[in-house]
Amino acid sequence: MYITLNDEKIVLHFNPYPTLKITGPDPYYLIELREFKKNEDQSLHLESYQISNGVDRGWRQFFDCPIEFYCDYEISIFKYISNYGVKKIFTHRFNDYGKIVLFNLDTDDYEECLLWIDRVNEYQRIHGCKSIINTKFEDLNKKLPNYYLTYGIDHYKTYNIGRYPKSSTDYKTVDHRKEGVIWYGNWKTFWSYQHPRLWKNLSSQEIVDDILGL
Amino acid sequence: MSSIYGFYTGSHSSACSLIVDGNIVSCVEEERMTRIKAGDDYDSHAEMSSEEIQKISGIKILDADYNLFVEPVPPSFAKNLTKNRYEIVSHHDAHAYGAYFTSGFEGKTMTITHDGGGENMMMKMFLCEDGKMTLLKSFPIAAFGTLSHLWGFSTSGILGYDEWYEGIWKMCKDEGKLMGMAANGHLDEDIYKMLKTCIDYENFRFFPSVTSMKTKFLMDMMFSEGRFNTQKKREVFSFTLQTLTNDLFLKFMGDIHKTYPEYTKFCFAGGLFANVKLNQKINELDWVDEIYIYPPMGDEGLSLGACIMKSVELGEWTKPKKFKNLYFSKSYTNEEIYEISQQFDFERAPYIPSKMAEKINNGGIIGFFNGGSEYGPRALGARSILVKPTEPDTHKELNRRLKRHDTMPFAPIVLSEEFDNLFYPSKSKYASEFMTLCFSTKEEWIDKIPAVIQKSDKTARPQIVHKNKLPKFWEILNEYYNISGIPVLLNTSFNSHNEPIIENPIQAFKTLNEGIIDELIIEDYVYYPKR
Repeated sequence: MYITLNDEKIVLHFNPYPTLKITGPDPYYLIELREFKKNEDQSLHLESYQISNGVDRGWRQFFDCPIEFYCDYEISIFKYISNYGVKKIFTHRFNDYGKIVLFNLDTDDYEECLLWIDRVNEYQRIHGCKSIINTKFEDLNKKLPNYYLTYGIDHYKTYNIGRYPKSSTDYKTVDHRKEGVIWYGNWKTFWSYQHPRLWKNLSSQEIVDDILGL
Repeated sequence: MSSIYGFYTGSHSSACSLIVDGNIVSCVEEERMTRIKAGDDYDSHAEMSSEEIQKISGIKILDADYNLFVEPVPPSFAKNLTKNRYEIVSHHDAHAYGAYFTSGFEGKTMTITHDGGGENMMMKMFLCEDGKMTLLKSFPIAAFGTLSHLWGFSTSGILGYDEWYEGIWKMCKDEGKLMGMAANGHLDEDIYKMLKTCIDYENFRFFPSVTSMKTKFLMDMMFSEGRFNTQKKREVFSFTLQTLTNDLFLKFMGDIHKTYPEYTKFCFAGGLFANVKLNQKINELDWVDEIYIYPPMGDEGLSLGACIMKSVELGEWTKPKKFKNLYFSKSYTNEEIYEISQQFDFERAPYIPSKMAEKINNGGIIGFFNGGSEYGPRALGARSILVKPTEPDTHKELNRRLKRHDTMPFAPIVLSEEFDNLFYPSKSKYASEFMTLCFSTKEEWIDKIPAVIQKSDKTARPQIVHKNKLPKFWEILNEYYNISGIPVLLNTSFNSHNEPIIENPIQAFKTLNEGIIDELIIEDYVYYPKR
């Protein structure tokens, strides 16, 4: 997504996780990512930090938070205004209604792939998005709608569905005693950036449901 | 009957405590052992402190009935220390149990914790009565703002950063210095509004959340605009920050009064309540009968809070009790001290209170070492330096000797019998046995004890000294009163610049050797350099 505010230009996408870059007159901006929990009006903090507008190479030039699975995100941009303080200038809540969402089904098992397609269709029904499904089975792909839209278009969100190991960069994931989708301090706790829970203990459907928040 | 070890470890302010059969045996802060101030060491573990308590008590951790770790817990450390036999206690519950069950309060009491997070929460509220605590509300840090982060990030940002991008002043260490600067400042409406964009309050909600990042962002931007580049500007900022803190928290207290009018006694714990000026404002609310601040109000108090919580659960601590004192670390006999003194070239004489009071009256700066060291941030007569309070420029000489740059005025100790003649309001006196709040000074005393009075608002942070609780401390104070007619002495912590309060006789003797103090009262003797 490309958004233009008064003097700021914003690039925002969720492929496969929230990423935001801003150019504008200010040297620094504060970005905050929050999540609305199911059936709650109150959002909780996920991540926030200051980024630079390309002028200070000592700072990160863009914001990202590598959580790939479904969250009801809200991302906000704050800027400093002298004699006013910290002002929110932009906010966007995750909403893929009517938007193109890409689902990469990373399984070699044909039956499982069919099950996961069912769950993706359920996600599409709930969210009202336009889905593009990409599987490892060419014959299946060709039967799926929107297959030929896979490449070269601006997706709103990408989901990778599979069984992924923990990455060494998952520094904010927690020790085994705190696994599960809860908050610990300012941080959401989860097994990895790709799986809310350890997939080894889950059924095939639970894995996909975990990732898609079903 | 049970032996219970409590630990807070893996962060700043690590500490260890031991309760046996519902009685406090020992509490030791890690910083006193490592000699690195808690705010400078965010990775400290309760290693030396737990070793020390095992030596003091003769009870091994592995032999204890219960081992409790307060959240957040580093699992590998806990596992190794206890052979994986430990329980986890909620951070804010440990704060709250520590506060309520040492308050001595009877009847309806509200206990409030407020800090920079700890675990999931920034604040909890409990309704308490007759030794029962019921959780009223809890406030997740991911959803609510916190005044503790407002102070922490203001502190670390006001002087800028070093080459490692660490604040020149440190969070969890230098907030007191920032608070002290407020005395010479005044309100700046623009700064007030700017700070309010980082934290505000309405209807039991401190908001917005993530006060930390917003305050840091604000401070960085204000710093780059040169808004803190003179002492005067920093003082104005500090005053404004204190004013906003008071305004928001008192609004919160007002909402409590409207909603729960039957609660007029309050216990507080958590880092926010190290702010003695805020505590004073709460105490001055006319509808508040009494407040009590858990003396080790920061995270250093969690290990004891956890032990108390377990004792309560086991029925070994049934109702709120009062501390007699906080001298919970290792004490030394005269013989042990004499043995240690042989490393130095001192003379010694029996301690005669009247004689030492005379020396203080003549301008002496005297070290006072008595029993085990205090648990918590204040020197309360176990590791204190005593000076007469009558000279306005005393702080200059003390700062020179102690290599401090403190802007906070020094604090007085006052005879309990005379407190009401000097200070007001006449309530929350138990809390002031631990120097946890300020009081206003009566007009006729302001010029008599200038070294311990805040010049701008004429307040002081007194420690009430009772004869039956701290007899030795009371005695020297009383002797000074007999000589001078002033029932007050200046009491500052026994440490040099940037060091924790001293722990053992060697450190005390080194201080004497370096000429920081003139003479050292240590248990039943006075040590002094050979003349």
